[in-house]
Amino acid sequence: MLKAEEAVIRVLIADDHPLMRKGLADILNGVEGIEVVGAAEDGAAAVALAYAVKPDIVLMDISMPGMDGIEATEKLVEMDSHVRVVMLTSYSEREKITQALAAGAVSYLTKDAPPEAVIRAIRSAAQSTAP
Amino acid sequence: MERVRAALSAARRLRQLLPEEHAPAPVEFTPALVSFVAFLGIASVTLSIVTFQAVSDATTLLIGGVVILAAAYCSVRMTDGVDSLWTAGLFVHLALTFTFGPVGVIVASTTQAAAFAARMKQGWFRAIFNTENFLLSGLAAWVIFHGLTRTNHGVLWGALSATLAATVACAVNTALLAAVIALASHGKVNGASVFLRSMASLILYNIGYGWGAFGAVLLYHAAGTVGFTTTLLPIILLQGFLVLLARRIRAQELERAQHTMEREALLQQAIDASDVERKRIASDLHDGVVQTLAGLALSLAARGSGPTEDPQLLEAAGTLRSSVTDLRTLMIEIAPPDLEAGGMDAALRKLLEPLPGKGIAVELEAATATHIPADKTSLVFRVAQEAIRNVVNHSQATKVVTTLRLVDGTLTLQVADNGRGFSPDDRSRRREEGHVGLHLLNNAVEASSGSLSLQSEPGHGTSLMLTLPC
Repeated sequence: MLKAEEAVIRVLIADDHPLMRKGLADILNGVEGIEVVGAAEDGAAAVALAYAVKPDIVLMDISMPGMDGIEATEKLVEMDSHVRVVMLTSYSEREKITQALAAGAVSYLTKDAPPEAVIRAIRSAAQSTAP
Repeated sequence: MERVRAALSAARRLRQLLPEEHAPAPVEFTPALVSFVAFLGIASVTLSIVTFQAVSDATTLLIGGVVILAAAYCSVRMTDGVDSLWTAGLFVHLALTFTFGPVGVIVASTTQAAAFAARMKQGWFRAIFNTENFLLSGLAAWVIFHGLTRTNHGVLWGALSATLAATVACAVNTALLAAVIALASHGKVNGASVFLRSMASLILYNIGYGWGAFGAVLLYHAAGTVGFTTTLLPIILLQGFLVLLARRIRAQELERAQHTMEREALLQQAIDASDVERKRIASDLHDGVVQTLAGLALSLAARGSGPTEDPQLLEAAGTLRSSVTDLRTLMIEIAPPDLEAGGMDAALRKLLEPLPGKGIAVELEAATATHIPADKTSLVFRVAQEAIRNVVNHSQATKVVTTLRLVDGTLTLQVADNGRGFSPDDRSRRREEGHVGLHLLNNAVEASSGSLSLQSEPGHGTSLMLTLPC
């Protein structure tokens, strides 16, 4: 039982668009072994929430008002080396993706990716956190 | 005193009428050049002294000198950019030479050189050389004319002699000028070539001047000062007319240049505004519709894949996702994200990405991360975008080859397809129908000193080539 609880991947969603947050939560909440532990509407809120809920994975939008996804990723990785950040982007901005990966993100997804790809990316990123 | 002021005021007004002349480059004094001009000076002074005769008619000489001074000061450039001037002074110079001999040559040479120096801001060294040159060529003309007409006083013979003398004067003047140009350029300029080119452009004038100047001699002998000035009047009026014409042409050139600059600025503003607008649209799409559709697609997929799977919802989610993909492609088209960061090759790759899906094979030859100056990237991208859009929409091609090169500061972009091609009539028809994309781009390319060439033939594909200095 304890092992099963440990196997649940705790996901925090950070996206400024409510429909994206809702859509991602709808998808992930229906997946066994994945739990959405919070949703933030900008980078600063994501960092604060991550500090409180200690997620395994943060699904992070790149472009957000105030603190963007890249800066938030830097802060998250600095704060907790176990957290893994998967970037979300609706725009395949090579430069920004490169910056995000340099900031500590482990992978990235475009927002038109099918649900299976989102789930696969989360599981893959979670495995990379295993000691 | 009032008269002097009025004369000065009139001179200032006359000066304002003349096209502006810029001072030539400073003279680089070399021993060879200075020695040559010094030698010419000694020769000029010696010959002037040896041949000097008493002044027989100071009034006519004075009138001739003043006319030369005014006419030479009001010289008109024959062709813009060519270092060649037209002045009625040369004709009066010959008239004074043939009528009064060496003293006429001295008056004509000094006044003409002084007027040129004042108008062209030539400096003292060039003024000295010009005086020597006018003196020596004038004396040569006088020697020929005097020698030939001393014993034979026939009118036709006189006219022919004057024509020959004027030709010799032109040759001497041009030869000395060519020599000094060759010396001043340290031999980089071919003196013989300068001589031949100048002679070719001046010889006809001088033949005409020589013949006409003999008319001044005849009228002077028949009617003194009045006769002499009678020959000068029409040519002086002609020079006045030419000054006004040159000024008007210059004003029109300046106006045209101003219009061109304004047109280029407007074009650039239009391009910039279009870029800003495209970026705004892309940003709005990114922040609004794309997010909404992507979120909805996920929500629908979640509902559709619940405990009771709903294929219709899953299909709707799939359709929304592909709409998001289409919007992404559109955003890349209207506001390329990789243009400055990833280089033009990356941007081209993105543009070509959808083509294989439309049955068009793609070949791209471009150096990795080809970086083009920031002010040109947008233009290059727009050309590539328009060319590729035309391939997709009109060519019915099965293959497109895109080549991007940046060699020795020149960028070439070629987009060639194997499609149905078109005839010049087809192109005109399309322009009449309002398809002016390439035409507008061509204006923008020309404004950036580049060129855009389109080659096409029905059944043999189309090739668009952009060449741009970078």
